[in-house]
Amino acid sequence: MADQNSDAQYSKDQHPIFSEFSDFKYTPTDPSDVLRFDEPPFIPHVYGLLQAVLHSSERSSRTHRLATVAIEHNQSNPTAWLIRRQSAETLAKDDKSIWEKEMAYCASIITNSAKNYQAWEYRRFCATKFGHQHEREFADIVLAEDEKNYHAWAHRAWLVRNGLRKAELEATEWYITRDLRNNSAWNHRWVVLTLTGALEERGEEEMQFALSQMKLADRNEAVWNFIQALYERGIGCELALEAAREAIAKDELCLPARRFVVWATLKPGKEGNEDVKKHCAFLAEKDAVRRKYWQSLVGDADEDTDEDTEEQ
Amino acid sequence: MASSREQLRIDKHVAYIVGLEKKTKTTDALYFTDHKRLSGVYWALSSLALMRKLHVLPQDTILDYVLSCYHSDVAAFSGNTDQDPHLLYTLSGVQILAMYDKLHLIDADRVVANIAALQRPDGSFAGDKWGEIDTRFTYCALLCAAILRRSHLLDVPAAVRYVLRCQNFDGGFGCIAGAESHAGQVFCCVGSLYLADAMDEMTREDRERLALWLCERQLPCGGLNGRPDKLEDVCYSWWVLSSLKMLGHVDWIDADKLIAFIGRSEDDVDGGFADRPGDMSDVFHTFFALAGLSLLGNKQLADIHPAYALTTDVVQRVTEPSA
Ligand SMILES: [Zn+2]
Repeated sequence: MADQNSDAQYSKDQHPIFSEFSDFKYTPTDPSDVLRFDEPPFIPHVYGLLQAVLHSSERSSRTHRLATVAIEHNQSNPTAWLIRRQSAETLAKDDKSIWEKEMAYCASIITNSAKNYQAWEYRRFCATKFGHQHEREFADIVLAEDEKNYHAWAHRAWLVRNGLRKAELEATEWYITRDLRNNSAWNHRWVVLTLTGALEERGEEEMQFALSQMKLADRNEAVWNFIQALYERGIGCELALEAAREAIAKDELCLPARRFVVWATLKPGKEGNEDVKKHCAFLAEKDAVRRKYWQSLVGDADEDTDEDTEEQ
Repeated sequence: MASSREQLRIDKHVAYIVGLEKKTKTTDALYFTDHKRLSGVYWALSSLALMRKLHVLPQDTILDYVLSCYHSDVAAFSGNTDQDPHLLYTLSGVQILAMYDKLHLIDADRVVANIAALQRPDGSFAGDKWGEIDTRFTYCALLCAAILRRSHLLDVPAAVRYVLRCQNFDGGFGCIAGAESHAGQVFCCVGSLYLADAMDEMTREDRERLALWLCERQLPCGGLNGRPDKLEDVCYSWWVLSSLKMLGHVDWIDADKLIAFIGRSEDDVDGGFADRPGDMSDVFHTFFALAGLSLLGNKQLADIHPAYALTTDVVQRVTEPSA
């Protein structure tokens, strides 16, 4: 989209790519008038040509270049990415170095638009051909711009599932210590721990790690979710409860610690929850947007809220 | 149950949606870029339907356009006339036809059979023959099949098992197994389980945990975010609320404060809603704002179904036992 103005100089089929396809018959697409926005005049020709190529058997360097032109205009065009992938596979038969170039191409798209699904997917496809050796580093580069980039973390999860696990736990620690509230890093840590079996190995040591990070910023939702998950697996339970009570004693407004105590010690039914009731009453006041939630836990909810429990 | 609910400026919002056709170079261009125009049409029409004004756009022109995105050779929709089919747009196409009661215009058996072909042995769905796996596509597949009354053509139990594998330690769901919980993906996963009649496949504890995670999305400003420590955004009013609705716990968040937040994102001069106060309106956030307000019981709006993302009268029509 960004290039729309510079592209506009080409009217109809005047983009240089068309001179390469003079032997190709195509029909420019006929975009509808419904909810239509301006686009450069050569774009219906690019799409028309793309369709003609899709239905032909040719996959070559020129179809590869055509895909580049189409992706430049619309980085999410699935047809263009498909033709690019197939063209690269054909070119790779003679020249394996294409995969390295394709990886660089993906990198250039992703660094401009880090949320492009197709480019990430294609990057993984290329990595299965070229090798995974640079992928962690690549994710690191993207995460240096945005440490919570969803695609980059999903990319890392994919790498871990594909066996690249060395030093990944340390990497999550690095991201966590840089930003204690990085929920993506905490989530990834859990994935690494459970996929590698390190959770059982580390046991209480892992709870100690989490608690040490919690103490640096004790109102951090991400770390408390992590602590709670360990607790639910029976890891370091006493340590966690003790630390939570300490956090509350130190800062009565440490709401996530209270939330944790409530969840950890809430008993089914309404009896024997005196401590929980006190915390819930406090939370209902101080965590006011969730007042009804806290009240409902100990059976104090207003009775006018049943409408949502019945579905249509 | 709530106070401080101002009147929505329905006329302005209708004018805004109708005026979209003429607008260029606004943020709407982002949502109407050529490859996903069909979804843009769905958001625009759904906004109108919520305001009970579906009739203000010419049905015949819209249907002509929607059908121009239908590829009868593969029985699927593309994001625009000149694009290739993708499951995301098949859902938009099917939803639009359902709104107009025109589902007979497509070959439902083949549409769902082709969706079934996108299902992988592990139960997951790809968006197209080549594309990635994502729980978004599971939702699209199950919803298309439900609207077309052909869920039996999919392996629903396998789809449910895959979705459950994407549930994280914090109770939320991600796009694939191991990916961080995100409210948009939670909506797709909860919606999938709801459509598969499999909400009980989550333990009670997991459901409560998830509901709490969803409640925790509400920030003191009243708006909702999509994951911890991120900014509030009007679109989560739909994704978080509809999930809570399916879990039976919309009452756990502060409706008044959310309504006020959505209200501050409303453009009361030119119509439409933005992602947050001070930003420019777009059709995507306009739909999600209206849908959220509908779930919160706004009486100026039609009721929306939390899983079908269609007004309840349409859902009734497509789910009632056929004569
Ligand atoms: Zn948004």
